[in-house]
Amino acid sequence: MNEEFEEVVRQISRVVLGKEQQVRLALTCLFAGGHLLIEDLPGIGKTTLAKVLAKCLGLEFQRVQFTSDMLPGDILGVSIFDQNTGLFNFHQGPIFTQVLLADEINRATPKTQSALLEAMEEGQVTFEGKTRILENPFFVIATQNPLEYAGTFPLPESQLDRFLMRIEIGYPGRSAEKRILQGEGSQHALEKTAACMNDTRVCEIQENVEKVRTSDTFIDYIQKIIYFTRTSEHFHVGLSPRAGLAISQAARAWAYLQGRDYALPEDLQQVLPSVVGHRLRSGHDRTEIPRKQLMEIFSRISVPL
Amino acid sequence: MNEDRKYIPALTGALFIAILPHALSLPVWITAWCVLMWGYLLASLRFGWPRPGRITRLLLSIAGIAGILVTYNTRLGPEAYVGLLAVMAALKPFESSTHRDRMITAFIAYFIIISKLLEAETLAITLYMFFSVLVTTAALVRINDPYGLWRKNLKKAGTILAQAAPVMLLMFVLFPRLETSLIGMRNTGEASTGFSDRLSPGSISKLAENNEIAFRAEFEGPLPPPNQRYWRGIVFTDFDGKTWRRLKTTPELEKPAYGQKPVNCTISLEPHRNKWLFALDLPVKAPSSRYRLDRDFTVRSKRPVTRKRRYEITSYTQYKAFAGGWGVEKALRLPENTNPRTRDLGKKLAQEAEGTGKIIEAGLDYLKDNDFAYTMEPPLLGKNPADEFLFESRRGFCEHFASAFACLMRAAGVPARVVGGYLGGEINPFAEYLIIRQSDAHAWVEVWDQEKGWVRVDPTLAAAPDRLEQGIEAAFPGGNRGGGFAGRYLEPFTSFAGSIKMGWDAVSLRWEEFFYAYSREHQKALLKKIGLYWKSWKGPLAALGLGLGLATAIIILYGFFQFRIPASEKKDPVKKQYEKFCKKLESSGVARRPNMGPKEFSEYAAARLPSKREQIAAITDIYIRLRYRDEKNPGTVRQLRTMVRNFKPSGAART
Repeated sequence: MNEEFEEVVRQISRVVLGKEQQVRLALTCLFAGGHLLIEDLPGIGKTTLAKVLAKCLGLEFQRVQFTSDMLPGDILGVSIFDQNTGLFNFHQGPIFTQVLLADEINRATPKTQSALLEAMEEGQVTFEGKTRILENPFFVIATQNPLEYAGTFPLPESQLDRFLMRIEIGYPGRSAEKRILQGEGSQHALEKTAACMNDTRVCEIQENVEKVRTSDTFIDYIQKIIYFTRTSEHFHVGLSPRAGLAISQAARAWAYLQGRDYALPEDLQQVLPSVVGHRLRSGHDRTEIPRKQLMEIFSRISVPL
Repeated sequence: MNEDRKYIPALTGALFIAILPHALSLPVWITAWCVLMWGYLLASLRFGWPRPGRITRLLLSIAGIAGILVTYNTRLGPEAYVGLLAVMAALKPFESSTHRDRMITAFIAYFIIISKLLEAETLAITLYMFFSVLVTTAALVRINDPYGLWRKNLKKAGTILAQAAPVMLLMFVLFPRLETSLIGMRNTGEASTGFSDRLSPGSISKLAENNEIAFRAEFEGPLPPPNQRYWRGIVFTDFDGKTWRRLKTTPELEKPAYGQKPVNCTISLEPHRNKWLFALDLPVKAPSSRYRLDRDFTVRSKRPVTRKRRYEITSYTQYKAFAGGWGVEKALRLPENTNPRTRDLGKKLAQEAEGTGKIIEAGLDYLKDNDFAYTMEPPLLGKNPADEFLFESRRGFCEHFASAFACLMRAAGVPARVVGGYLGGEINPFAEYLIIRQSDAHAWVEVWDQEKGWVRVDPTLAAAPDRLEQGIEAAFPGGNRGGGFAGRYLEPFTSFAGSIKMGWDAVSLRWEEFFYAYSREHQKALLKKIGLYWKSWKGPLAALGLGLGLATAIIILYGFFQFRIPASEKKDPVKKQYEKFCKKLESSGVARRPNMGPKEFSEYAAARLPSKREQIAAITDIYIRLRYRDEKNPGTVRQLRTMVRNFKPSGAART
């Protein structure tokens, strides 16, 4: 793996203990230029991961805690009448940043959710007839509790699709948990984290990811997977072309993180569950398919030679 | 643990359904054993109880086998094998961590299903078997598709079975019909049912409690009147004063009886494990070469009836049976020192009456006039049963009447013998055939008349004329046997249930007609009709093989065209070389799983063949460059080819 990323992963892993794979996936998502959704139980370390990611990449960071009484203006910004000038002045909301941590996104009402998600898709905010371009890079790292939790407005599929990847963190392993309980990986460690990159470098990497080669065989593999989801009875509906592009993009970013300028089936396999997990529903009861089962299903698709 | 949840309930369910029809015939402990094991297994899934480990499983297997050996002892017939199968099937689901184990479990279920079919071929069992096969196939589908919905597994299994139906029919039509039982090891040690070859007081009344079906009789034309529904089975001639026995040897009948009013009748005989067959009195000739008609006018099979038989037989309801006077002398033997009072009465009758007819009449009159009672619960008789019955107890069942009357006739100098069989039968209103049950068992007497030959005399009717109309019920005082309070109020229900039973019986008889009627002769005839003729069974077998081979070929061809690799891919040299490389590794024990990417496979293979690590890595590297970095250099392809050619992964892989 590329030494540069190795260092980033090391830094982050000092704060989020024992979750290297998730850290790598999160980095992959950001370098692929996609937004990241972290879903897990409260207290697992979602927010910490989001914070440390922003800090480590040296990006400007804003956090919004979503609540059910939030309005779109609380994110996008508001115009306030200035008595001195007699004009309305636009006060930028927290969205004008490089990394926006949207904490517990599913606690906000759909109206607020869609304001954010539109901004994510367009990369710009239109407010009172004036379009304002968002920063570049611009990432949204949203966290949410599993949908079964009370007081949530689940994101509809069409909006889930805006997130390139969704990751779950999961309980820490035995030894990692012991280190957490011993006080390692605390708030202190987060503050100590130094920035390893800056925004220009991140943009550069994003451009390089675009250049990662995908051969015919590799595309065949993606097609095979998409076709499988569309014909198999395991899924309610198959993957869209946009999902196909997302797979390709994420796999390329992963390959780039591995220090390669071409994508391998292995890269795809690593990112696949995180890219398609929130885009697919079970063909039987339309519920989400557990990750393990998803991997088992996809493991039946043979890699084209 | 979590994985097991997907397979184990399905497999256990399939096994349970397969074994259910065996449950009645298996020893109780085996049924309990299965229920216990499967119950524990399912509960352990539910509540996370510990599962037996390797050693516990081994001990349980040993205990099971020991149990089988103790239960069946030396009788290691098919029952013992089924028992063993059940005992092992109860344990097998505990051991289902690998795909192979699960497949074996499914096949055990199939095996159990087939084993039931060897025993019984009734319509109900066959229908159940189809259901059971469906469930087992669905379990098999589930093993290979654990995330599918159970309903869809069933649907797929149904599709598979429907697709297999033509092959099944082909096999049914073409598979050689064997005249003997397919499995030669069919147990003959099991107790026979119905009549035995001896008749002593009490032997038929014991049968009367048995409601099992003995046989069914369909008639060509109208049913004979009730007083002619005598089903002849065994003739008892040998009498030792107490017990009547069949004669050990009876020659084959040479000249058929002279008679009128032939009745054609098709009998479906339930297996009774003896050789005698039943026919309406009096059979004209043996149904086929597998049977013979003896001089006592009974039909005998050459082999014990161990499975259902269906035969057509013609009888005369009015006849003169002489058989060349065979057996007349033997029918006069009466042991000297037994039944003295009967002998005296016989002599008295012979002096008073003139001619055989008058003697018989006088004998019957004695039974009529002296308050004899027909009952299911006669008192026990001692050393001289005829004496005690005729002069003291005067209460008895048909065998008491028949044996005492025959004894009396012999004493009066009239040759007489006892005939065992059935009387009457229940008419199935749906299809107009008779169902004859063990409880219809009856015994009557045949006496010899110089002019008329053997004449049927039923002394039971002298005391209980109702026996003809009411059947066995006549022996129960107060009429209705199941009567009383409950019987009266439940009648609408019992009669409804009764008519369902009759309807089902009629349907299954039709099915058996279809199923059993397709014998070897029919097979030959059918094949001849479509222009195929063979002398031996090898012919149909060859045709079957050819048919199945053809079907397989069609499927393979279909698969070939459906899944064939496009020509463009075939020409791909990189792919070809890499496949070669994979094949070489596979032959030395390192198989690539289809979902493995090249890098993953390279590491996987290198870990198993450490000595070839560099070569494997180099080949993989070149392959990746060509395949994923899109290097279009013919030189590199050549390099790959050379490297693959020189790659020799000899020696066993470390696993």
